[in-house]
Amino acid sequence: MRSFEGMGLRVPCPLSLVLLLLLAGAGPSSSAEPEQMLLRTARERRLSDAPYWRTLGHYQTRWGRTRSLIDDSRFFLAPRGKVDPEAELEATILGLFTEDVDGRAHPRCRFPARYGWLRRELSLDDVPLPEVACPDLEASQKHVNPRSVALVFPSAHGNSPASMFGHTLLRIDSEYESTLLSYAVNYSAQVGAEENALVYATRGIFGYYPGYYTILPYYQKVQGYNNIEQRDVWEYELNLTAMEARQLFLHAWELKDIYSDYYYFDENCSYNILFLLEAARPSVSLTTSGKPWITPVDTISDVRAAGLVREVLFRPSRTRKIRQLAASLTDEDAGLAKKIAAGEAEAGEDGVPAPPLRAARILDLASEVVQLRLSKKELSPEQYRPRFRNILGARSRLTEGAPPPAPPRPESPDRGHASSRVSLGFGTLAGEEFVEVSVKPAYHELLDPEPGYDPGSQIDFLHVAARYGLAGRELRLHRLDLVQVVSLAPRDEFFPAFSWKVLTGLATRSFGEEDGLVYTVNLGGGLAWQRSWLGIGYVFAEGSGDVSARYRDGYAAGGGVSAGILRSLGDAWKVQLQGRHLYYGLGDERWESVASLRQSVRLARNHSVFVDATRTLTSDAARTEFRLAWNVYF
Amino acid sequence: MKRTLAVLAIALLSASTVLAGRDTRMNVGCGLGTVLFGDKSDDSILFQLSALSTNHMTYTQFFGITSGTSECDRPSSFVGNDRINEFVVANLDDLARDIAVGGGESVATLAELMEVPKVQRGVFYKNLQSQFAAIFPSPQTEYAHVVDAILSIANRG
Repeated sequence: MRSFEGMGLRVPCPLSLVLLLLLAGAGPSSSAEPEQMLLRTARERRLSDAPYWRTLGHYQTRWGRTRSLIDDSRFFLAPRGKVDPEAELEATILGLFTEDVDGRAHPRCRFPARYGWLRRELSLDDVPLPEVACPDLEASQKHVNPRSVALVFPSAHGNSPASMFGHTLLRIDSEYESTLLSYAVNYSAQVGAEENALVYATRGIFGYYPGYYTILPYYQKVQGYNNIEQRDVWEYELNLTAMEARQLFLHAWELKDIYSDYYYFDENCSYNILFLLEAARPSVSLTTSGKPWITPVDTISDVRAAGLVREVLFRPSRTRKIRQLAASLTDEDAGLAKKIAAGEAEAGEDGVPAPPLRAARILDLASEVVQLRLSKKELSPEQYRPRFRNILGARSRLTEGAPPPAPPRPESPDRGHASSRVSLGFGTLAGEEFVEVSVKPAYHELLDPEPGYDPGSQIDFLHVAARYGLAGRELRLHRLDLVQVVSLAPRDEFFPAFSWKVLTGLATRSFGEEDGLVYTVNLGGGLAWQRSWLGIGYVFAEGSGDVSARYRDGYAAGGGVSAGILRSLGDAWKVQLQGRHLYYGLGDERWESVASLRQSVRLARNHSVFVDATRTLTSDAARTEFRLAWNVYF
Repeated sequence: MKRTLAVLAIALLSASTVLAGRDTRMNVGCGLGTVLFGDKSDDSILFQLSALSTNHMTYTQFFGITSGTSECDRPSSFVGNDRINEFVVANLDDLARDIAVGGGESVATLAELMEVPKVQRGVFYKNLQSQFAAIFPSPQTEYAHVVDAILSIANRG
């Protein structure tokens, strides 16, 4: 036997080498062969790169790195499954061969969508897999009975501009006609019970809450949104087939009770359910969008653009129903309904002193108001029960009164302007001309085109504007609003709401001859009313504080009042007239009065024009500004 | 002064801890008014301002009457009518209103669960409406009685 002794190693001769290779090549014992063949096939065909595998694993490749958006280790069979789709695929294939595990924990029962896909791709019917029964999966699938799917969007509720962003969830329909018997698939953050608002916001933005996918009866969501949170609910019926609906259910089953870190801006409720739609219909691509942040309404637009929407239905909130009923009654009848709801008048044996049809509407309104008061905890259950039951008892005797008509449906939220805005403007300030460019990532101000948004609600983030003065040829930052929120909540006898507003960021103030930036915080609380001849009229008491090195004391703080009218003239024209006076008594003493007339004209869904005139009087100066701006929403 | 303002701002935001305690409370009853409430403090301005929407569930899943955790009386027709019982107990108030008014989504859903043929539903709603007092004899009526009463009216009518 010849041997090589290069480098001090003894290497056996070629013949024995061949023998060794033959023995090694004989491979594992024949009972493990099917798995190895499947693994080999999967590798050769690069199945882990297949788009559907990526969808099922919620894998994304960003900056060259691939990772799953799911953070729960229970979602992965491979230890490195979160970052390695190939390892996960192999672990899943091997997992199908597991024996002696009951049908709850077996990979075939836990990951039925993965199993179904692998079955087709790898012809698993020809492979001797262990028999497994999946009783939980089968029972659930039978109970849910997936036949079709809808995308559901609960919109804003009054006096909560933040809720304008809304939420999306999916509804899986069975053969029952009534969708109250359907099941909802929902992704939302699990928030701790005792959270302070600031902690809540920070944790939500930075991914410190786990978000869970849950499957629950749809009527619970309807009750919660319509009746407890007072939100309208939009239902976008999708054209998924029964098979696609079933596939969606199977993937939802894989995600059930799995958590994924909830990131408010990009991995939020509406984004994460898009994977379910992609799992149902692989030909649509919804999870790879351009923007780094996703709003629910954006996802609805995307789903529509993908050709998935068949029909749009609307569920009015209890608040909307109450407003509709109250508007259809005379003041006297509405007042009586209010008294009955407050327990100050009885709807007893003799019923209501009014002809049957009017009496029926009065009682319809009273019963809704009583339920509203209960859900807001303004009534205890003990007060509620006799009142509600007696109102209904009287109502049931008015057999001529048909159920009340549904409130008219407003413009669908996804028909409104897109959530980001860029604008180009031109104007003069104290006679000097300027060009202005501004960008606003989100979301909606009072003068942005109204259709699809809550009138009277404003929430804006990171509105940045820069101006270039044509005379002095200088570019300066004009404003940077970190956040501006306004909630004009018209009061009426059923809803004595308070209006409020908050603004903080950098603003431009005049300092004698020059302008300078200050950091400002402005808070206001007030009242608003709505009348058809007025529009929305409002009054605020405000507190304001500016910080700047240009102030002798470094700051100026104080308060004042503002009042205004916000009026829509037709569909495309909106006007805001406002007057404001602030007196800064702390720090640098100064005062400021501002009168402004702002108008917006909607040119198209994503185009509008603003025309503003503002007169500002301060302790040092009196200036007039005119501005014309063209806004593009995207 | 900046520090004072900062302290004020923090104090203001911290005040929201008082307002933002969101312990979910469930009115676990067996009759009218058995609804899941969100906490009233969800209306607090500061909470909303920074709350935006993580879309947390402000209420927990309804107790399962079929899981035996309920303390409510069961209808005599309990066996085999899981879905009817579950639906009635969770939607009792809206159902009561629909019955009183003579129609609506909740009573239509019940009719579908009870397999009332579509052509007979108009009569079904009218019968329920005229028998409202028998279905809900008192404010304290519990869902078990409601289910039994509706079923017996349906069988008679």
